[in-house]
Amino acid sequence: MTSSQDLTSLTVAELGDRIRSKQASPVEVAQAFVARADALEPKLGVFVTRSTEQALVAAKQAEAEIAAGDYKGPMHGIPVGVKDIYWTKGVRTTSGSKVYANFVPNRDSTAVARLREAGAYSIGKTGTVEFAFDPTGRNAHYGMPKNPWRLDCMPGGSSSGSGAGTAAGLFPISLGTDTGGSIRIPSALCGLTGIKPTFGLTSRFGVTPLSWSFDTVGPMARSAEDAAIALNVLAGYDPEDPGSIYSEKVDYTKGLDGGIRGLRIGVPKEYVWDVIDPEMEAAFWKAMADLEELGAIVEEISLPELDWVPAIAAAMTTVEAATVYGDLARNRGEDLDSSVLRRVQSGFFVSAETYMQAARARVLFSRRMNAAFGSIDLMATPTVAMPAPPHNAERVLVGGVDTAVREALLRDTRVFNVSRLPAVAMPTGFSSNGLPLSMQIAAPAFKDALALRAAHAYQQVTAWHRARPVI
Amino acid sequence: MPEISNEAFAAWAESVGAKGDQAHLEQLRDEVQGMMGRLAHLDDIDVSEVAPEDASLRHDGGVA
Repeated sequence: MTSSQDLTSLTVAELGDRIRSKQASPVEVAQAFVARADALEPKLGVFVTRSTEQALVAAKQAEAEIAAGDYKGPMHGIPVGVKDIYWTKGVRTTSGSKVYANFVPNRDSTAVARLREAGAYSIGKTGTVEFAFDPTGRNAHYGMPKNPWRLDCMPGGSSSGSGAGTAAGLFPISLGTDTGGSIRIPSALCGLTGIKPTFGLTSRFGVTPLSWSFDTVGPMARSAEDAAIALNVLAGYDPEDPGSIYSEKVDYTKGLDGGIRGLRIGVPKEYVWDVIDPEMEAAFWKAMADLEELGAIVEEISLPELDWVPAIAAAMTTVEAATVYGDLARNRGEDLDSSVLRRVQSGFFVSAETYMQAARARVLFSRRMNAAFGSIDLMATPTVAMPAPPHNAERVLVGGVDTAVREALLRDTRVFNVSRLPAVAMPTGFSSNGLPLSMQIAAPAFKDALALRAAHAYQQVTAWHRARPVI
Repeated sequence: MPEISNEAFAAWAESVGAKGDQAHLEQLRDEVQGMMGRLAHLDDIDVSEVAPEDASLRHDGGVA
């Protein structure tokens, strides 16, 4: 028998093993996570809407199915935190906005539907920045979840509740979305493993849009193995998402133990190091040494085009967001978070010519990235420039450089949004004040399994991903 | 990039439909000014090897 607290500290793979072998029942698992959420939610503010009753019904159903011999796989009976921009049938989806406070979808997003088919269920809708348009986690309407490692620090965003809740053990895995880093930033700040898949690999149908040429759906987990388990469920062509791309079915867990001997990992020598916290940098190079110990070949690469990324991302995301939310900003601006309103309005000032210049530069940048991957297998950088800043910080000193918090959080993650490549964020240690540090490993398009394999190899020789916050 | 006066920005904002009280517009002006500074770097990128028609999202999501 496993205690309730033990269950909430396990990974999906471990929970799945216990459920499959009947050492733990889905109802016990659900009750353990519900009890932990009951105890910690008042302190953390992870959820916008909890779905306790529905979760317990789903857990009972999973228990009955498994008892009848219909075991569906490692997600069967697993509670999932669902970012509140995913449609959930019959459960309100606010998108972090007052405007949609009472919107109740009549069907599930594809991602949620696929999780349900795999036997998983939503335990609640997690906090998000309004329309997922900020990397800090702030939300004027529903509040900002607390970072479970230090309650006075921001959890990162925009998938703030998914990050804080997974790290705190309110659920073992969650759904996030990543337009400029919104899966990887809270993963980094909360000590999680999160993957932004290749653009088009996972369906955005039923997910509130922000910037259609960047938006990506993916899991936030406690290990690379868990991220692979979830990606097995989430990946796959969906005709309801115009950005969805057909690709061969891949088992993302199959090659996880393949190791990384002989793989070449490129580390850009430009851009990333202009704004970097010394402890984040030291942990990154220690991680590179760990990967070399495993047989990887770490080498510096030159990518001066990385300097283009902030301009390309700013031009395109603001215009696309203004296209999506322009009417709302013009007609109901007073109902929006004023900082989100300003960001949407900023897109009104960018000309079509500038947008197209950015789009052409983006193609050029992607070609340069693809060329770089001609001589390396993977690329690695710190995920973010610094550990979680104080919850109210607007500017921070990062390695002696005065930087806006938003820029410090976004500058490294959006490299892989602009290039649409898969990138896995994972913990690499802790700062002297107890905050998680993180790196990201990226791979060529549709080589998501390779990035996960490298992350898994790293997690076989380190224990950072196993650390749990004391709350 | 030269600083935009409050009056000039207010006129620009009105022309594109960006509304708000004076404090909001002042913050928006700072944000837009900062963004325009960043976007100016785009003019330094020689994109001539990418035809405009290759710059849109391809159906297969790939990069031309």
